[in-house]
Amino acid sequence: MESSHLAYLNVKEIKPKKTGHNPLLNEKNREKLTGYLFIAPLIIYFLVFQVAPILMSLYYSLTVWDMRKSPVFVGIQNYASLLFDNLMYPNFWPSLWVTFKFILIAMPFSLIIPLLLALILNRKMKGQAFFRTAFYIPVVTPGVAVAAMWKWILDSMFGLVNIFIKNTPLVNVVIKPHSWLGEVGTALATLAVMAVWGGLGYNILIYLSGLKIIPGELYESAHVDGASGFQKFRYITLPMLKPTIFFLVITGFIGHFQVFDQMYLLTKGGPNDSTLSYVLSLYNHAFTYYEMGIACAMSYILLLIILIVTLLNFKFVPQKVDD
Amino acid sequence: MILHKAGKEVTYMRQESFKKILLYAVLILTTVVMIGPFIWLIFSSLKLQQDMYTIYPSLIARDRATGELYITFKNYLEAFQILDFPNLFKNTLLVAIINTLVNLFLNSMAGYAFARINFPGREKIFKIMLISLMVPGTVLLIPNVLIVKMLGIYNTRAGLIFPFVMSVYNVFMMRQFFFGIPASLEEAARIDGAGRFRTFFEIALPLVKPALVTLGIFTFLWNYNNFLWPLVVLTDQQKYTLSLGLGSLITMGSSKYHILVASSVVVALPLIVIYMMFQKYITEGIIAGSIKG
Amino acid sequence: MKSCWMKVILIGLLLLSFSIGQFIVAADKAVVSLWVYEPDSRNPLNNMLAAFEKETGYKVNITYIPKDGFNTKINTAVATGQAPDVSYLDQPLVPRFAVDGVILNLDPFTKGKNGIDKKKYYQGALNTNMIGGKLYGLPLNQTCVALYYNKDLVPNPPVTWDEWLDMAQKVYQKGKVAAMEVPPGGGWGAWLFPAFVAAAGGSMVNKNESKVTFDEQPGIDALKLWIEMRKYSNREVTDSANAFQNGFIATKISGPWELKGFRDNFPDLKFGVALIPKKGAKDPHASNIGGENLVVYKSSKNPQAAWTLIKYMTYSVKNALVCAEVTGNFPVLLEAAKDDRYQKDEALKVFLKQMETAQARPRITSWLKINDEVIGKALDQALAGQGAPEAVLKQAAQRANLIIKMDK
Repeated sequence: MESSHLAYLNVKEIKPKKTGHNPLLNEKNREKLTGYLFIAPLIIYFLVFQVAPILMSLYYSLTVWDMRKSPVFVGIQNYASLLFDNLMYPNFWPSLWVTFKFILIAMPFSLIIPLLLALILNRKMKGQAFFRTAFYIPVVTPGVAVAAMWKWILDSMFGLVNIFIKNTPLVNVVIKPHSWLGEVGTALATLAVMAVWGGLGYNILIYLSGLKIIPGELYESAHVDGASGFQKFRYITLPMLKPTIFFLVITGFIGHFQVFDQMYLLTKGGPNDSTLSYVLSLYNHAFTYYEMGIACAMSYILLLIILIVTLLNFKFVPQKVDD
Repeated sequence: MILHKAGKEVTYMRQESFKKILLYAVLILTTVVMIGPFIWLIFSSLKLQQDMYTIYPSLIARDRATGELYITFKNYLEAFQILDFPNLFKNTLLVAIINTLVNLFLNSMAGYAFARINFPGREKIFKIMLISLMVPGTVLLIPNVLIVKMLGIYNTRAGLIFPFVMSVYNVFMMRQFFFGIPASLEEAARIDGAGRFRTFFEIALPLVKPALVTLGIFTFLWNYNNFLWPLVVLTDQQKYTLSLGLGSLITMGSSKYHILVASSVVVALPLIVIYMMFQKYITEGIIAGSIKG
Repeated sequence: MKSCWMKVILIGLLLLSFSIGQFIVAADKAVVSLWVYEPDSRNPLNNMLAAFEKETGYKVNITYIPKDGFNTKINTAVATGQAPDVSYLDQPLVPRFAVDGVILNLDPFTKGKNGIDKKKYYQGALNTNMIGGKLYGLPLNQTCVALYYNKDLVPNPPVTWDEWLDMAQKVYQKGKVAAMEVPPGGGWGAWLFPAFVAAAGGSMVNKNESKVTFDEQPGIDALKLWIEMRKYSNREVTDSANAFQNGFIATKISGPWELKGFRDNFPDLKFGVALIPKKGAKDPHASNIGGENLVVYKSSKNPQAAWTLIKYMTYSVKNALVCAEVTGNFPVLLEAAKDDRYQKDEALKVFLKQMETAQARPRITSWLKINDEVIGKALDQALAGQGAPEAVLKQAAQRANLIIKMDK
């Protein structure tokens, strides 16, 4: 049963036949040309708005620059200071640790919960469209409005969350009303929950789009073979979802590593730096203390970290169906 | 024997309906968590400030002194006095719509090329592009302003559009979606003599319609919400966008919280309405896609 | 006959358009761009600038910017050569901008017939513009912090720290009433901290601003007071939105910019303003100073017009009052502070009195970083119980001194 399905999954590209309209442009060259033509706008955009600024900030990372005087070249001094000078840059290592903890809390939930909900929504059932719409609403709500909303709901005296805890018989024994964003113990976890909440609808949609293009015949033949629901999930759904999951893992990791907005709007890194994420710290160096050189060096260290993790992902997480 | 079988069927049906109830319970609970806060925000915006602060929560505002229920639009009136919403909306929509359309067109083309067309250096180019995804936007801010200045589009709407007219992230997404659709459909058309452009427009693109809608909404939303970039590139008040307007409210401090809440609703509601309108299209797109796939 | 009339009309039109064109060109020559914080209402500033345009013939291009993004925007603009002619600038930023050669030395303008008499400004506020003995801006407004107290909870405001702690024990109710909105540390807490150090007879830095001194006994005492106060102030209460305005907090340290919001939006709140309590009877009532200045950028093409504008905004009583009002702070012109609105208002009167003992921020180029990353962090650690006040402040002082040395 297994092997027959895997054979079906092995969708491979068939080389197109030669048509030979133009004797100068044979099929292969035409294909190449078309390919370059298709990505030409991207290349131009990429050079102007990505490569050029990245190179510029690489140069700035080797300078002391406060954005007002012209930059002074200092070699790798910024990198060395960040890594080893705890007295001048005490936030570097702690902010990395904060970001890592944040990813550790947020990532598993933002991969698993949406998958489960997408599987439910993928069944033929009434009200499916309604639920899908409802789950996506947080995604389309502007970040500023979301921040204002959570601040209000989590308010330590008038917030719904604490009022609910206080007035629900069993719950109020286990949990006490609490300043969720104000205490060192809970602030980061609360922000992570908010991130999962905010990204849920988006991840569900991505999963659903992935689920919809799994050919129905696969399930039908599996059904005929007498496969159970779990077996279908394990041997059809999960393998077919590999590209989708790969996409979510990579973008989720990159996105979470750069977490900034909600911290900037709600906690500013407090209490006691427990929510000072790496990028928030980077932003502070750039725009509060005007240490553009340090900020650029920080971004290159971040780049390196993400690069390593992404390469590991490319190696260990299969990205194509037929891998 | 027959009886036994019938009994089994009843258990099966019972199990099925129990499962259904359980699934609905999960969905409804999630719905409450997902949109409950939003409903609370909308109703809070209809309360006078002094009645927002109460430990006896009520969805509809209750007067502190008399205990009567009421609804007020005072917060909205104040918000409209402080911010020039019509102009802010006009600017925001102009930039967001242009950006979304161009994004959809160019990104899906590039994504298709990376997934389907064989050309030398394809994987290498793609991986180099992926690296750029990892550079935090904050640091590209200053160099990008310098570039925008060099191009002569500082303090113009074009300055809001060009730096975001494409997105490596979106290209990545489109590539993954094109990977997901069976190549056999295109091959048939190619054998019939259709060129790459025609195959792309007439066969591949319709197949990924759901992805296009998702990507479109996402791009639109991003442009609608972008705060930092318009802040540094625009100096002309007449060109300000919604998020800049909302940003100025936040800095006014907690005493203006009621106005911030009302303005948040004004800014968020159109997005939600637009999304609801497109929701139908998404459903159709996904169904159409799945039948063809 | 007909054509003759036509000619007259044509020539008339030509002359008219020419003169209008001349007028437009003339106006174009003297445009001053001005960047300000987004105020509650734009009308007062717009009206003032309209009057300025009428009087001087210059044109002002004003841009309102959200306060949160203001410094980011100014820096980006300077880095890319797009700075305005004139802008607000937060006091601690003036030394850096001056040292970096971004803003103009205004001394040449202060003499002559369009000059000013510096003695007409509050010296403390004016001095935040003096770097190395040279003038780099005109003060726009000034502010300080004082003690807000809830009259229902605290009939008589405390004068000394002992009285304050007594009061704290009396009003405290777990989860319901907090004695004080203890600052959370971070940049904001570090900004308030000097007021307490000075009220214990100490200071943040030594006389010639070469070394920090906040780790000495007064600083330790001030921090201990905060830690003690925290015992009678649950976070659950103090973190709630507008907790003081809603009557759950007995005392709070804040500035005059809160007054309007309290009065307009919380009519039920009965509050008073008093001087910040001092440690012992002999110590001074102290506070800290803050505010913004108006500076002219070196890149300005028309510095004379820019100077005329900043003088216009700050040098007459009428306009100084407008500038104070739109920023929610105090005027910096001595004459303007004598206005009835400050002398007759119970609360504002106290703030004015508190201002007399307000300490200016050290004019150290990296003070902002020391404030946020060093002092703010130390306060945070001590308040979270991660170390004794003595040890935490001592370590912070070492770091601050190192940063000061690096500056030079």
